[in-house]
Amino acid sequence: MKSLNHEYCGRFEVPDRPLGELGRRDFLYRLGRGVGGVALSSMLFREGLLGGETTGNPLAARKGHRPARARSCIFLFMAGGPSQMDTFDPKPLLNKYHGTPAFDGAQLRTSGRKLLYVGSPFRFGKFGQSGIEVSDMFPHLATCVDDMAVVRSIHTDSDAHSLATFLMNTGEALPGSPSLGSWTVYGLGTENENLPAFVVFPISGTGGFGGPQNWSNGYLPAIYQGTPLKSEGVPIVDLQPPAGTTAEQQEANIQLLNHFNRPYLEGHPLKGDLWARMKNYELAFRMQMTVPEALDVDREPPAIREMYGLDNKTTELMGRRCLMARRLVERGVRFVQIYSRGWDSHQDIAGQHRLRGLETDKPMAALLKDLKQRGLLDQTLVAWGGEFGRTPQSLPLNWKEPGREHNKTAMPMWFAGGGVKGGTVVGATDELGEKAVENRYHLHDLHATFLHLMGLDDMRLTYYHAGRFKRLTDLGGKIIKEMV
Amino acid sequence: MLRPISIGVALFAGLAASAGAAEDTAVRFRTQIEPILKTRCLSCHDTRTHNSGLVLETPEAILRGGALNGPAVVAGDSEASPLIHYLRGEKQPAMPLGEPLLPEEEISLIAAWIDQMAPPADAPRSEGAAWPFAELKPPVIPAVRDRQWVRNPIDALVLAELEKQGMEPAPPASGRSLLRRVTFDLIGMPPTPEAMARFLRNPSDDAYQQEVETLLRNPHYGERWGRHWLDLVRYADTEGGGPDYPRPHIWRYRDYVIRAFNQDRAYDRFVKEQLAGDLYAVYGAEGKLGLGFLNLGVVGEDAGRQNLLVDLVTTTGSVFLGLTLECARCHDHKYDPIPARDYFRTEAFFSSLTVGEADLPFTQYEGPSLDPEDWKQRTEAWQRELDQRKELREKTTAEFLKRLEKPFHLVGGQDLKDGVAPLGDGALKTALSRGVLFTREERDLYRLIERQNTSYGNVSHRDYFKPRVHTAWEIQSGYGARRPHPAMPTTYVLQGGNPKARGEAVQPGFLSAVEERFPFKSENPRQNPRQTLAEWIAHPGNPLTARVMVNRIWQHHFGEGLVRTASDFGRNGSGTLHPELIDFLASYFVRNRWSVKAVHRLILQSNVYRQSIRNPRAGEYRSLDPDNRYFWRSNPLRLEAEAIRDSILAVSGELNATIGGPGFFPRVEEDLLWEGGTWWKPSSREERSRRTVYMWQGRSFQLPMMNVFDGANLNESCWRREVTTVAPQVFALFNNPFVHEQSRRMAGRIVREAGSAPEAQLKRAFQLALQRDPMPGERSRGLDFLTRPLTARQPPLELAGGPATAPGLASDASPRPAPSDGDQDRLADLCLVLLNMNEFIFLE
Repeated sequence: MKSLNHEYCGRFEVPDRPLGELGRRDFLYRLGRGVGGVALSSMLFREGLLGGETTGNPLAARKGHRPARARSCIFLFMAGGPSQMDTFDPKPLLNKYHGTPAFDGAQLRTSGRKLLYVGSPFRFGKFGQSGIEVSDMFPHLATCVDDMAVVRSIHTDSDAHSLATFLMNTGEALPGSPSLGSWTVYGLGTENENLPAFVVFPISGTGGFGGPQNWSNGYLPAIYQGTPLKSEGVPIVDLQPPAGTTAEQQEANIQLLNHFNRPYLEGHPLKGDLWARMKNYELAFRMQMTVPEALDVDREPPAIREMYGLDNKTTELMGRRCLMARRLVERGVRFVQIYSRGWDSHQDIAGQHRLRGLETDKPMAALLKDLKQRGLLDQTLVAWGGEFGRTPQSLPLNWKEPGREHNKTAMPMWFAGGGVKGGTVVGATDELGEKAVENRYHLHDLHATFLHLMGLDDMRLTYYHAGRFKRLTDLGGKIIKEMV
Repeated sequence: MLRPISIGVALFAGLAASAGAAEDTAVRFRTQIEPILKTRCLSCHDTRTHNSGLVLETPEAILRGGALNGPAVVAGDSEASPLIHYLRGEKQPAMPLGEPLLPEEEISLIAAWIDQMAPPADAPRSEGAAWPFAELKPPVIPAVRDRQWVRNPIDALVLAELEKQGMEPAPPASGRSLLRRVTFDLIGMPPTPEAMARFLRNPSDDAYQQEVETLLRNPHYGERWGRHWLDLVRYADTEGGGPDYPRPHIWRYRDYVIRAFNQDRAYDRFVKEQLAGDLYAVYGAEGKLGLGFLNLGVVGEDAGRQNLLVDLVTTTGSVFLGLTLECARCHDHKYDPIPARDYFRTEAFFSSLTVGEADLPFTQYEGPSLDPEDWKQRTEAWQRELDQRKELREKTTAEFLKRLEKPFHLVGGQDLKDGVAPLGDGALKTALSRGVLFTREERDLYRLIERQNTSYGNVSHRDYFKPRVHTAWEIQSGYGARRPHPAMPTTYVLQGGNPKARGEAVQPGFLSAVEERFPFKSENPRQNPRQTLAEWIAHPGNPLTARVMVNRIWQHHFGEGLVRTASDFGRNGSGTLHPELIDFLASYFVRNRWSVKAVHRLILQSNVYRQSIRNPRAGEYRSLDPDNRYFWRSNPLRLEAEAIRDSILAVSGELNATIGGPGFFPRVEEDLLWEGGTWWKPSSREERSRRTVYMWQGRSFQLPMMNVFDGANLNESCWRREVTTVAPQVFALFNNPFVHEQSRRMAGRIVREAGSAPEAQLKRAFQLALQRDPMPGERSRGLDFLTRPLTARQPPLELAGGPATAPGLASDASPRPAPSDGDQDRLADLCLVLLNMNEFIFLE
C-alpha cells in the first residue's frame, strides 16, 4: 500500500473495486465510482424515485469488503480527554520530576505561564498473563487486559475539544462530515431493522463538544445518522405519539392510512418507494415495543444488574448504558457510542480522574466480561478513548490541586473483541508520556483500523460528494497491524 | 487481488450500450477501463507521476501519449496501439513494470474499448472539459418530426433528443396534477381548493398562464426560491463548530435573498451584491446586506484565516461557477483544467478580506416592522429578559452555594477512602451533578439557568434586536471604504495546501481555462479586487455563470438538473445530454436581463414541463433510460422538509404569512438540545406558525422533522436534497406533537368551514389536503372512521416544549387543544392520516 501523507488533503484516488459478492447494491456501489461520476451511490435512494418499482433497502444487512469477526461496535468515548500517564501508560520517571518546571519550557499558549510536571497520583500494577500495566483507577478493567489491546501511540491534530472531538468522530476538524458510525452503517447496513442501526448515548450533565454533529450523517443520506437515546423515559423522541393516544387509536389510524394510500400506488412510477413508506408506519409502530424492550435493563437478572453496578449511584449511569449497549448489539444493532463526561481534568487529576474511574471501571469491565460469557465479544469491537490525551504537566495556578492540560501528541486508547489481538501493547510514548514516539499512529489510522476490523476497506468505502468520491480516511490512514 | 471486471460491469455495459452510442466509449472508459488503469497503471502514470511523460488518466491523455513513444493508442485499432503491445509483453519492458501482466480479460476489455473508439474529434457531447468553458452562443433549434408538440424551443431541444432515441414524451398531466405541481414548484405549498376549482372549471392554456403569473407575483415565491438559494450558500443562524455561537443578525441576509427573488432582481446584480455589494454605491443598503454571503462559513474553535479563505473560494466556485475549485488547493485538479495556481489566484481576490458585524439601519424594504419605535421596544423587552435571567442565576447560585459551606462526600456518601474530594472550584457543579444536597428539580433548574446564560448556541446578545448586520471589508481600508489600501497581502501558492509550504507568489487572477476563451480586463485597475472578481463572474461573457444558474432553475422544476451534479460542471460530474438546451436557456437568461422569472415562464410554458409522470411506454423506456435523463416523463417528487411543514400549516389554516424578521424557535423536546449548550425558548404560537424558512437554523441542532426528511447539511453548500424513506420519518410526521396539534387545528377549521355533517367534513378535509373529493372507497371508509366510536381518549397533554416551566421564565401561553368533543377527535385523527398520506407529500 502506498504511504499516505497525513498533513493535508488526500492526493490519491483509489479505485473502488467490486465488493466481495456483487449484489444489486454492490453493483450500485461500483457505479458510484464509474459512470460519468453521477451521484450513483445516491442513485440507490433515488432509483425508486426515478426508475423501477423497487427500491434497494439502504439499511439491509450486507457483507463488507472482507470477512471479519466484528459485526458490531461499541465505542466508549471519554469526553474531555483522559490522561495516558494516569491510566494505561505508567511513567515512573514523571513522579521524580513532580513539581519541577517543564524542561522544554512548555507553556500555555494563552497565558505563557510555565507548566509544572505532575507525578501520577495513581499506582500501577501488572495484570493478566500479558502483564499489561493498568493504574488503580481501573481495578475491574485490570482483570480484562488479556482481552485488550492498549494503544499508547495515537496522536491527533487538535488540542481544542470540539475540533478534536469532530476529528475523532468524523476524521475532519470541522463539522459536516459523516461519523464513524454512519460510515459503518453505510457500509454494512443493519441486522435488525426494528431498532436504529446506529445508537448514541450522549453526554449527560454539562458540557459536550459539538453535540449531534458528532453523530451526524454529514453528506451521507440522513438514514445513516446516529439516533440519540435517553437512558430513562421514552428512549427516542417521538417514538410514542403524544400522551393520550391509545394503541387502538394508532392502529385505527394506520389502517385508515393504508386504505387511503393504496389506490395511489396504482401505476405510480415510485410504487416501491411509496410501498416502503407505508411499511414504515408499521415498523415505527412495532418499534414502540421493540426499542423499550431492547433497553429494558430491569429484565436482566439481579446478578447481571449488580455486575454492571446498577445498584450503586456512582456506577448506575454508565452501568445502565453499558448494559443497554450489550442488549442492543445482541439484537443486531451495528454501532453504539457511549459518552462518559468529565475527563477534562485541568485541575485535581487525583480527585477527578479517580471519580471517573469509580463511575466507569466496573460497568465497562462488566460489559467486556458479559459479552465474553455470551460469546459476543468476538463479534463485538469495543473501543475506549477520548478526543486527545493530557500533558505530563499542570498549570502552576492549579498547583494546589494539580491537573493536566490538553495534549494532541499522545493519548490513551484500548480495544477489545471483534478480532482485536488481546494482551497487546502498541507503541510507546517518551519517558514522561508527553509524545508518542514509537510506532506512532494518527487517528486516521485508527479509523482505517476500525473499518478494517468491521470488514470494510477504508479505500473502497466511498461516497460521491463535492465533485469526488470521499472516504472516512480522506486524509489517509493505515491499519494498526500490531493489534489486528 | 486481480479481480477482473465482473458481473457489475457486465450488467452496466448492457444498460450503457442501449443508452446511445454517442457516449458509449466514454461511459465504457469510466466503467471498465479507468478502474483497471487506476489499479494497475496510475501509480506511475497519473498526472502527478507521469513516468516517461505518459498519463493514462483520461482518453485524451492516452491519445496524446507519452514523451517517448507518442500516442499510446490508435483510436479504432487496438492491434496498432503501443499500449496493448506493452500490456501483452510484446514490447519490452512489459507493463505494468515489474509486476505480473494483466489478466487476458482485462487486456481484451481495453482492446475492445480502443477498437470502438472514434477519433478524438467525435468526443461525446458534453464530456471533457471543453463545453462549459466554451463561449456561450444560442444553439440552432433542431427540427423535429412531431412539430405539433413543440410550444417553445425547450420542447424542440428535448424532443429532438427523444426522437433520436426512438422515444416519445408522456401525455400531458391532468389539470389537477399540473396546478398542484406548478403551485408547489413556485410557492412551496398546495393550491387552495378554491384555486383548484377555478382552474379545473377552465383548464385552458390562458388560465394556466394566468395561474403562473399569479404565483410568480405571490410573495411566497421568494420564500420558496430563496430557500433553494439559502441551501447553496450554506445559510445558518449559527457559526457552527463546537461552541456554535449565533450569528444573531444574519437573518437580514436571509430576508435579502427572499426579497431579491420576489423582486426578480437581475442575477448579475445579485451576484455582485453578494461578493462586493458594499463597493457599489448604486446598490445602497441592499448591496451591503448581500455581503452576508461572505459571512456564512463554519467557524471552528480554532478559526483561522485559512478556514475563511478556503470557505470563500470553495463556495464561490461551486455556487456561481459550478466548479470544485477546492480540489485544486493541494494539487492540480484531477479532472478539470484548474491548476493549483488558479486556486490561489482566486484566493488572492479575497486576500485581505475580513468579516464581522457593523451597524446598518433597517431599510424601507425590510420587514416585518419598519417602525424604529417597535424595534426599540423589542430591544428593551429583550434586555429586561436577559437581566431577569442574570438576576435569577445570581440569586439561585448564591443560595445553592450556601449549602456547600460544609465539606461533603462527593460519592453519594459511600465510604471510599480515595473517593472524597475536597471542595474545589467546580464543587457546586459536581455536587449538583451527583445529586448531593440537591433535589432533582433544583438540579434541573440550575442547569437551565446555566444554559440560559451561556452564549453557546443560544441567543443572549443584548443587541439582538438592534439594526446590525454581518458584513465584510478589506482589513487595510476598514469597514465602508470603497478603495483598497495599496498594499494587499501577498498570496502564495501553498504546496499541497500546506500553509507552511509557500511556493510562488500570485496576483489575483481568473481561472485560466475561462480566461483563454473569455479575456476580461477590469476597466478600473485601481478597483478593489473583490469587485473585479464579482464583475468577472457576473459578466455576460463568463461562460459558466449563466449556464450554472439556469441548470439550477431547471433542477428545481424537474427534480434533477440537466447537469445532475449541479455544482460540478466538471469532468467528474454527470455532464449533460443537453448542452444545447442549457446554452439556449443561458443565452435567453442573459438576454432577458438575467431575469430568473423569465426563465421560469419559459420552462413552465413548455410541454416538457407539462408532461404526466406516467408514460404508457414506461416499461420499455425504463430499460433504455432508467434515470429519465431524456425527460420522457415528469419526475414524481417528494416534497422537501420545509414544504411538508409549510403545507401542514397551510391546510390547518394556522400559517402565519408574515414575511421576514428574526428567526423563530420551534418547540423542541428538551433532551434533544445539546445539554450544557444549546438552549432556546420556544417562540409564541403565532411566531411558530410561520414558514419554515424563518425557523432558527442552528448548525449543532436541527429539528428532527427537518433532519429526517433530508434537510440541508447546514455546514457547507448544499446543491441538492437527498430523498430517503426511513422509519424515523414516521416519528416526525405521525407521532410528533406539532403534527397532532396541527391536525386538531385543521379539524377545527373544517368544522368552522363545513359544519358538523360528517359527509361535508370529509369532503372539506380531502379538498384542503389533496384538492380533490374523496373517491367512493375513501368516502365510505372515511365516514365509517368518523362515525364509529372509539374508546374515549384523555385530553391531549401539553407537549414537553422546552423548559418553559422554570420559575420566572414563563413562556408564551401554551396552546391548549381545541375543546375536546369526541367527533372532533375523530376528525383530528382523520386529518392526521391525510397529512401522512403519500399523496400529501409526493408531487406528481
